[in-house]
Amino acid sequence: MKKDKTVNYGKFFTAPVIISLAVLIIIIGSVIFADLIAPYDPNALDMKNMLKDPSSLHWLGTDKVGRDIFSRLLFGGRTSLLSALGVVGISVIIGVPVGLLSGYYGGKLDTLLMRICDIIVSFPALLLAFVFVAAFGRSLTNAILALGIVYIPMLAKLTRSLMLIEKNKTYVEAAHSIGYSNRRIIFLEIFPNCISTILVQLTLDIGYAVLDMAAMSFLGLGVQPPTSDWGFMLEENRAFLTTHPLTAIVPGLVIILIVVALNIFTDGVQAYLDPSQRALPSVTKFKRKLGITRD
Amino acid sequence: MSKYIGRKLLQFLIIMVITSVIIFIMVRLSKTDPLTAIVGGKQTSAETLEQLKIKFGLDKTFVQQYFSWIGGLFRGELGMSFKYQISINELFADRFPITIGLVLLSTIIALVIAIPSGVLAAVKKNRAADRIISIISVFLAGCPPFFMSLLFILFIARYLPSYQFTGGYSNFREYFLRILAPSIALAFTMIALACRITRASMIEQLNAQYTQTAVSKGVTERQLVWGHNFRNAVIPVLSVVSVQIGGMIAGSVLVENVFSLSGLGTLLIDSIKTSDYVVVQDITMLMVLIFMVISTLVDILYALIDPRIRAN
Repeated sequence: MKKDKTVNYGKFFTAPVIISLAVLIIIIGSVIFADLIAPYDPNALDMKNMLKDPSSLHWLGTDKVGRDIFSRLLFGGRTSLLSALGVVGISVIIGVPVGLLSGYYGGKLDTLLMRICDIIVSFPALLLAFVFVAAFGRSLTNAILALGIVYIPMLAKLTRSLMLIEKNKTYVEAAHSIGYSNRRIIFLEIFPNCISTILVQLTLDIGYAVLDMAAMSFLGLGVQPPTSDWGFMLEENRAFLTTHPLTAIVPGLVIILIVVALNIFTDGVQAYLDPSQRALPSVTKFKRKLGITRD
Repeated sequence: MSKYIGRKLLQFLIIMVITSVIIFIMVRLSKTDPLTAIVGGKQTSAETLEQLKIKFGLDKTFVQQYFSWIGGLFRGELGMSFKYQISINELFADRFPITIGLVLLSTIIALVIAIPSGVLAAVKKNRAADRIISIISVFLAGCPPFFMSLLFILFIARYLPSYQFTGGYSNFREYFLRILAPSIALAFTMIALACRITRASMIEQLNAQYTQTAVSKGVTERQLVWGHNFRNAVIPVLSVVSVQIGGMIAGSVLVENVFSLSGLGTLLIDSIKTSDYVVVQDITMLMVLIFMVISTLVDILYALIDPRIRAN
C-alpha cells in the first residue's frame, strides 16, 4: 500500500526499521522479564501511597489503591501481548487452512467457506466479539476466542488470494505430473511460497489485536480483575484523568507505541520483500566504485 | 444493471436472515436465565414468575420466540426491555440519533480531512508535505479511539471548561455540541486509513498513460487532478470507507462509553452486563443492518461508476 516512502535500495535495516525494531525489542523484552524489572508486586495495595506523582520510588506514580503503575504496566503488558498472540494464533490455525483449501479446490467448498466468512464480516468489526462475550460470559479466554473468530476472514481471504495466484504456476503442474497428493501439494509445495506474505500480515494483525483487546478490556468485556492489561488500566484510571492524567495516559501511549512500531516495521519488511519497489542504485557511485571515470 | 442490483439485494436479504438467526441463538446461549434478569434479584412468588414469563413471551418455544422477535421488527416493535420493563422503542428514541449522528459526522469529518490530504500527498510524492502526511497517518492509525477520547476529555477539562459534553439534549445546537467532540475522536482511524488509500490509489492514476496524454493536451493541473485522476482513484477509497464504517459503528460503542453519551453503544454494553437480551439483540441487529445497507449501497454505487464491475 505504501510505496516510495523512502528511497529504497534493497537494504533491510533502514532508519525507520531500526527504530521500530528497537522500540519493539525494548517493550517485548521488558514485558518478558517483568519479574526481574518490576520494582513492586503489581497487585500489592499500599493505601498510604495512593495516587502519588512520579518519584524515584514510583517511576510513573501510583494508582487509586497505591499500586505501582510502572510494575502494573509491565505485567499488564504480558496479558496484552499474550492475548494478542492468542487472537492471531486462532486466526492462523483456522484462517490459513480455510484459505488454502478454499483457493485450491474452488467450487462448492470455496463458495461455502467464503459465504461463512462473508457472514462474519457482515458484523461491524468488534460487534461480533461483543455479542460472543455476551453469550459465553465475560472472561479473557472468551474475548480472545471472539476476536480470533473476527480475525479469521481477513486471513482466510488473503491466503485464498495467494493460493489462486500460486496454483496456476508451473511448479504446481510439475508436482501434479509427478503424482504428488493434493495434501502434499497444498501444504508442502504451495504453502511455503505464501508464508512470507502471510507473516507480514500477521505482524500487522498483532498490532490490531493489541488495540482490539484493549478495547474489549476497556469496556469490561475482556480481562477480569485482579488480572490487568493495558486496556483495563486505562479503564481503571480514567476516573482520575483530570487530576492525575499520567495514570491513564501512560498505558494508552504504550499501546500506540507498539502498534505504530509494528506498522512501521511491517512497512519496512514489505518494502524489502518487494523488489519492484526498490530504486536503482546510483549509477555515478557504481562507476566510481568500478573506477570508471568517463562515460 | 438491474440484474446486478437484484443479485446484491438477494445477497443482502440472505445475510440479514442468517445474521438474525446467529444473533438470536448466541444471545440465548447465555447462562443467565432471562427471568433472573427480569426479576433482578428481588424476592418473587412462583405466580409472579409465571406471569412475567407470559408477559415477556418466555413461555413459548425458542422458534416461536425468534419469529415473534423478527415479526415485531418488521412491524417496528422492538419488544420489551428486561431491565427497564418498558418498550425498547422508547429506550431507543433518544439514543438512536446520538449513535447515527456520531457515525455520520465522524465519517464526514474523516473524508473532508483525509481525501484532500491523501491527494496532496500523492501529488507531492516524496516531498516534505507527503512525508509529514504519511508520518501523521501512521501515528493516527495506531491510536485507539477510546484513548483519543480520553485525551479529548482531558483537553476539554483543561482548556475549554465551559464546553459541556455530557447529559441529554433538547435542541439541535445542544445535540450537535454533544456529538462534535466524540465524532472528532472517532474520526482519527478513518482519517489515517482513507488518507493512505487515497494516496496509493492517486499515485497509480498519476502514473497512468492517460495522465500524460492529458498533460500534453494542456489540461490544467487542477482539472487533471480532480477531474481525471481523482475520479478514477475514488473506487478503492470508497471500498475502504465502507468497510471502515463498520469500524466506526463498533468504535461509537467505545467512544460513547468514554464520553458517557447516552447512545446505543452505552446501552449495548450495559445490556450485555445485565443480560438484557432483547436489547442486545435489537442493537446488534440494528448495527448490522446499518452496516449492510451501507455496504450494499456502496457495491451498487461501484457498478454505477465503473461498468467493468457490472460485467463480473
